[in-house]
Amino acid sequence: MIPELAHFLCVMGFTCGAALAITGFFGAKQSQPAWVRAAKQIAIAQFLCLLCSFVLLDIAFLRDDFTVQYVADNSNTLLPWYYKASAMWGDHEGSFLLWTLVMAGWTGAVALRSESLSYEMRGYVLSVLGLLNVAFLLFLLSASNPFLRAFPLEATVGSDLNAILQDFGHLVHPPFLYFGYVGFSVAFAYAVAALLTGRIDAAWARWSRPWTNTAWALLTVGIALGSWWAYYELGWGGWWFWDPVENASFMPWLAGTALIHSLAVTEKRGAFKSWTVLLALLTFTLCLVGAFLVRSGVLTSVHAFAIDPERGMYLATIVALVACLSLSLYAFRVGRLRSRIAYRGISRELLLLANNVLLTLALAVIFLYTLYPLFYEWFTDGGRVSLGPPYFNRAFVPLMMILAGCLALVPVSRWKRTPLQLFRPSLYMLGGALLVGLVVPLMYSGALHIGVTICVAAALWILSTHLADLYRSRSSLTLSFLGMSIAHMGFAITVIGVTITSGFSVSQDLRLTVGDEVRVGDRTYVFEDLRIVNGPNYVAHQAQFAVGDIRLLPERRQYTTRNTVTTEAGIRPGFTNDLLVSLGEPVGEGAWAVRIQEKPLIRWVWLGAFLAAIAGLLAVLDVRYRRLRLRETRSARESEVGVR
Amino acid sequence: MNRVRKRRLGVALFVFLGSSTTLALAFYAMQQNLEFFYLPDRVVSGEAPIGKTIRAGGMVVAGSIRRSNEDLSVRFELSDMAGSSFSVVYEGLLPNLFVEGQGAIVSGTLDESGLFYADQVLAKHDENYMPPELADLHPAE
Amino acid sequence: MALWLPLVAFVGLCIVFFASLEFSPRGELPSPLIDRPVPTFSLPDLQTATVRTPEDLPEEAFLLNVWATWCFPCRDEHPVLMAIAEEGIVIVGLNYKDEDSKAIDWLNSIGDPYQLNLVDREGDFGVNLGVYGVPATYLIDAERTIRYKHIGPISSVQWRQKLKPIFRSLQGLDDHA
Repeated sequence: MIPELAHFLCVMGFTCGAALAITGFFGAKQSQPAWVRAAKQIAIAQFLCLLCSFVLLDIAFLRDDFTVQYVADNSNTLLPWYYKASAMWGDHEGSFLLWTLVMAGWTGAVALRSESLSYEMRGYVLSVLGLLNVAFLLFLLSASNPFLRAFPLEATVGSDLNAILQDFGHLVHPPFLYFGYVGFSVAFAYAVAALLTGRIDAAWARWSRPWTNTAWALLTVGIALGSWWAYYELGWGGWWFWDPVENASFMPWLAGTALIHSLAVTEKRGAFKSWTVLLALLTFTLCLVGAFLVRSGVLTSVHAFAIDPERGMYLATIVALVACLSLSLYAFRVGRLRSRIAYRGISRELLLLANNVLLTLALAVIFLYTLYPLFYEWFTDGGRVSLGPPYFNRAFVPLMMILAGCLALVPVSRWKRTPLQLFRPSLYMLGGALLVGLVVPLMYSGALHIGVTICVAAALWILSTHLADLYRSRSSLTLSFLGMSIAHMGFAITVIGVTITSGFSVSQDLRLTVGDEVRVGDRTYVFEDLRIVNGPNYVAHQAQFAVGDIRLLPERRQYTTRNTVTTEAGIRPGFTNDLLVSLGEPVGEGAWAVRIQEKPLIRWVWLGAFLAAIAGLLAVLDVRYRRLRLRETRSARESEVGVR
Repeated sequence: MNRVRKRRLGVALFVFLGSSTTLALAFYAMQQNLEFFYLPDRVVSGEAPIGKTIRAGGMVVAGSIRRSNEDLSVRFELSDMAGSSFSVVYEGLLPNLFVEGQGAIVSGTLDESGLFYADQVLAKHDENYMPPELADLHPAE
Repeated sequence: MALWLPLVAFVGLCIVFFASLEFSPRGELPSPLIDRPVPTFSLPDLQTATVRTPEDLPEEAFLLNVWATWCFPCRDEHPVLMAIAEEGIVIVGLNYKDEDSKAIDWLNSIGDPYQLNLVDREGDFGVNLGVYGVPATYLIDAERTIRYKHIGPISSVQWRQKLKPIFRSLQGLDDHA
């Protein structure tokens, strides 16, 4: 009964979404505040329906109810309970249910926290969010239904979760990614509502900012977790592959980053209005494009996803509808906007303009590179090409370094115009940063390396100007200012991590037998032992390597039900250096293929990203927004009374 | 034209020129560095260029994997179903999903004798997934 | 005018998406052997060493499974084959480029799902069948016509979702009957 009840609740969620879309829209259109208030209740009901539906299906997983096809295909009696629970989003159907649940969650949050909006705006926003979830739920129920029973019913132990997904990373990575993706739907809905009401102003930007910041922070965490997971779970020490699936999550992130910054200009200076609206529309559309690319399988990826052209068709239709409707609305309605902005010397506006241009360019380059194989296949009638990571780096890194240079000037810059003498101290800092940047490659490899110098110097420059500025304004710090500074420093830390780990990692593939000693980098590794270990649902070869007093235990696991092999690297994590040993396949005569790596500062890559995410959330908590909300709630209430 | 407008025009021109140069360069770099994909029949027939980085793919022929006893060099055959196959030489770790009788994609260069020197070997990611490149030669899955 | 550019760009993009989906099934080329009768052979039986010909094949729909003791994935496929045999489905084995003694040991120690086992020590029959990897499994109907070829080990999911429905249709039974 439980899966049927879950199915029923999911259908209820769909009905709520449709009701929400209708009441919200007509409430706003026909000036019916009561309808908009009803929409709020409906939004909450939608969330509760989908939450119960999700939990009930998860209970089917926990109880090993293999009469449900989706459970039978993605779980196994031998799985530990937490992997059974997370097996829920191990495949397409369940992860889409999670997606709709997150969508309903954001909608509910907007319904609860939008008291300050005029009922008109609020009605449109809720209506757009409801409509989006109707499209997703329609897709879920018709083309990828996770609630279906397996017929004929047969006894089985379940075919197991994909071995790579049996991991803490999978427990947390997809949910965060979805929180982020779907979170941008709020900014999207606000932009559509602003276009419908014709009120694109500073107040609109102020409302959108906290939502956009939160979504951005969650997406940042999601991407960082994905990278960290790939690093330790794929087992070969790679942490970013420029794979289409990664790019699919990175493109909305770049657009979202640009959006956060352009919203700031729109709020503070009333400028960039039409551009900001466009970005808000594009960011969410790119999230949908990402979902399409990932799930339709039109691009070759190292990721494992069940591919189904019918689903691809459905997702493409959603993308097409969302993009065409919102962009047509944009083209019709945004025309009257004219923002006046004057650039005098280096002002904060100019730096933010540079930020937007550079991020958009980076986005365009990645977009082009990711989708080119698709275009090529189309134009040549089935020809196939691919682009390796070096080309991505060659185009992407220079843009990021120019961006870093602009970023370093942010703390000293002022709105409108910056007196030139203010820049003098930051020039001294640039000198110092360059000097340190010159020394760093010498320290690691004993040779000069101009690329590393530039990247490290840019990052250090950012750190120094921001720290100096934080110190100077220590008595009058606001949370949003602190958030901005920490986010920028997080970016700098990630840049340092990426630069050093890309420049000075050591990696060797070796053929080793037990007892062998090898020297890699400055350390000696001893292959001490090889044994067989039994896990709950796998058998593993576990090697033991000694480096000084450190023992590393890489494994090669054979999962029994699905017959898949995974490599679990033996990692000694460190703030300054990771040691990593991976066990490959046996290569005959008792020898094994082994990869030994040293990865300096790899942890900084994720540390910086997490700092930036925390900073994004800090800014949301700023009292300025809370005070604003109170004041506007009052005025909105009054205006509602007036209408009645 | 007043000063403000002139300055704004300057900014706009700068942005436009900078962006188009970047995109043009990116596009040019891409054109230079595309790796084309070939199936075994086109590798055997000599349609695949020699000495240029390309990708090729096929099914790993059962029993064809030969390993060296000293290092990690390995040699194997990739085949389509229709009787064309070529040899690949590779040194390094093979992916976990590299299995006899399953699909694999190699990236590297071809020499005059038709031997493929791979820098990279990719195998499919799980048993339900087939690299789309290889779907053409794989009717039964 | 410029305001329409994003829309135009995205419409173009969507057209490419839809077009690329058209490619997605990617023209499944039928194998030359599909819908052809099983090639003729005269091969020894693994257990009795009697020479067998196509006449000795079952007169109902059956699976022809190509296997070998040196084949690592075959070991993982074995329990699935055992389960299929339990369902009362006839499986004929083709022991491929293997040693008889090892093959007999294998079947004695982990179970024998095969009703009949043919030996193709040199792999000649394998060439006629189009075997280029082991394991491989052919779905053959009562007229001894090859109807489907599966490459690689059969997992329980693949069996249940894909192969069994096809096999049922060969038997003239509907999947849900």
